[in-house]
Amino acid sequence: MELLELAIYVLFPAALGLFAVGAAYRLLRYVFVYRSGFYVRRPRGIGHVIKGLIMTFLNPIILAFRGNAVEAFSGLIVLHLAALHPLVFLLAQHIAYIQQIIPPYGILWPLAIPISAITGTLQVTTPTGVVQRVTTIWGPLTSVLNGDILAVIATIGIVYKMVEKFVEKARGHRRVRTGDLLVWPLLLLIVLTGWLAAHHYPPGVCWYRLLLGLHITSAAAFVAVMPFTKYFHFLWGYWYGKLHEWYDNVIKRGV
Amino acid sequence: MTTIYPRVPTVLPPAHLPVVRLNSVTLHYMESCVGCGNCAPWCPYYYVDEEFAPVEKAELVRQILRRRYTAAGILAGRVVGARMPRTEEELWELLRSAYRCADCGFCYIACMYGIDSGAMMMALRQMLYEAGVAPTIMKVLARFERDGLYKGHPAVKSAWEAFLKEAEAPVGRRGARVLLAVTLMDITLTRDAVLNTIKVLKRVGEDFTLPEVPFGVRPPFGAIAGDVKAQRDTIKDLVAYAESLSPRLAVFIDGGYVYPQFRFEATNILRRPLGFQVLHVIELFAEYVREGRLRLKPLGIRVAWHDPCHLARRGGVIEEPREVLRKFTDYRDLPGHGERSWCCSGGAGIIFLSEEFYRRVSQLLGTDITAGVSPRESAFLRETEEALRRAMLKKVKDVRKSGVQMLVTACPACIETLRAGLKFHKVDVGVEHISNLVAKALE
Repeated sequence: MELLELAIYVLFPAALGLFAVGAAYRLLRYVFVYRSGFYVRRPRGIGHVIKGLIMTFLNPIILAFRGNAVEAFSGLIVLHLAALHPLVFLLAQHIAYIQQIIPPYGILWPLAIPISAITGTLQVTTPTGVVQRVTTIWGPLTSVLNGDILAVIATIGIVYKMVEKFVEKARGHRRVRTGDLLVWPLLLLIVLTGWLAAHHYPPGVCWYRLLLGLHITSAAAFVAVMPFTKYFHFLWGYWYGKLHEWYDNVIKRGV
Repeated sequence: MTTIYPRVPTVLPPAHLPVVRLNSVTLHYMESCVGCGNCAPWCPYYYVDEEFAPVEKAELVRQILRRRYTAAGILAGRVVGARMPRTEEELWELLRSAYRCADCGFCYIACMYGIDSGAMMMALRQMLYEAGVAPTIMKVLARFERDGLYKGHPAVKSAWEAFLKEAEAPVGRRGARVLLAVTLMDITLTRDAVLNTIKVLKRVGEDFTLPEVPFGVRPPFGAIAGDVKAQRDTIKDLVAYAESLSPRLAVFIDGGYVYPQFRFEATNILRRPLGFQVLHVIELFAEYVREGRLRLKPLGIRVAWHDPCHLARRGGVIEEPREVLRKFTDYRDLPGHGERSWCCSGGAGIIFLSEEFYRRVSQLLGTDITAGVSPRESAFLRETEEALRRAMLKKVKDVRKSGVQMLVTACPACIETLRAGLKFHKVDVGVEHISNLVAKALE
């Protein structure tokens, strides 16, 4: 079995399985070590509590811009919101592939992003040769909101973070762990192989199948290890952390 | 002379470092940090050295937790960022980081993931205290309070009696509406504020009482020393005493950690509701103002309120002091205020870590506690003092920018820290407890 077939039919589904097991393990740990508290809350009106919820999520963003505007803009806005999220979840090719595994994912087709700015409609080529055309809601925005542009932004962002982590490690920062030094290159590999495969570069079916195989394999590796890494923040840590902070500060203490 | 040294001066072998128990919150703090460093610019100690950024300090605790609680940490150790301190030297290094955190909570609200690095540093203090590594003054005062030694100590007794004589207020009266929970630290550091609070209570005709003995040293001292048993025993003892007097309100003059410990943590420690409501004196003053019982004449002075971190960010008391101060002063906020106020940097006991404070406590207790201080601890104290001076620069700049004549606050540690710091950095702004100002403005 060649790499592409292995990746599509074995590695990625296996990675999803591992992801499910890992995610369940991580979430269940929270249940097993949970200890209830006995607190007398400060009474506050519903308006205060709702405003507190909004501010709990907004505070770090405001403080990020005040504390280090360049890092906040490049790390939070460009890398996260502008590049990685739309690239991973809305690129037409990704929607097509994920829909094969999770059919309801197809609901996102109206938000799909084309691979390049050349056409406003989407032409999706799957490994089995199926062509699907979709009308996106983005209209003229696809001139900037397309795979090429997002891949370039994501590549710049990932390289920046990768270099930053290596520099921080060299400067002896404890917060940079071995996993950080491995996972950023892995992300870079995912983006680069995906971009090259999408553009059939280098030319030739063998290269295409190899690069796409590598793209899916590396993505599978990322998905498999994700629940065991800090990247699980996307699904759990961020939401649990901020909601707990909201309870602790706003609901309990009335801040 | 009474021996008040704790029984844990010996350092345990680090292999036996007692690691704090994991719960869902510490689990989150352990595994969710992505190392973004968003917390760093909001920690005053980050400006002393980058290694004191919350993300870096809390990582020390995460390393210990990973080593103790994760399979990867046990199997792969340092490769996955898991590490248990091995030598006494390392424990002292950890202590240095543990006392470069005032537990102010600014990093908590700045964190994208709601990680309270201050709580992690308090957990570190607990582990180190259990291992016998803690500044002498913290051990002495935690033990002094836990065992109730302050109740019968001759020097304390005579200071308390002198205070009661001057206060001329009811003492130990059952059924009074308010128990004014005056601590030993209150009458030592902010005696004028205590007397002025009593003056205000008398003026509004409040039905109040003082305790028969000080309401702890600065309870629960174990909370900042890292002595969990002392924290629990002190709270248990003082809550039982307060309940024996059946007040409706227990009112604290100290707006430092004392307030949230009794307001929020006591019920969790005792696993039951308290028989009284806990208020800070500024909440009581605001209540008087709203009811029209407290009439204040304008002082024509330009003041700003310094939010003590444990009263505001960790206690939810933000509007009340402003409500009162606007009645009789030319009030303005500092550039950083309320939930986003800069910490004075001396909280969580850091202000006590100076040779001068060691001498003052020795004098108060009639026991030379400096006798138990090793050369290593002396060096630690000097470094801590120097770090505090540098850490408070952010606050000093804020005060300078505000153009106020006086800074008003309510925490004895903040008052001591700000007075010393503003003087050191040559900023001519006075610092007063709010009770002093309110008493001055009484009509």
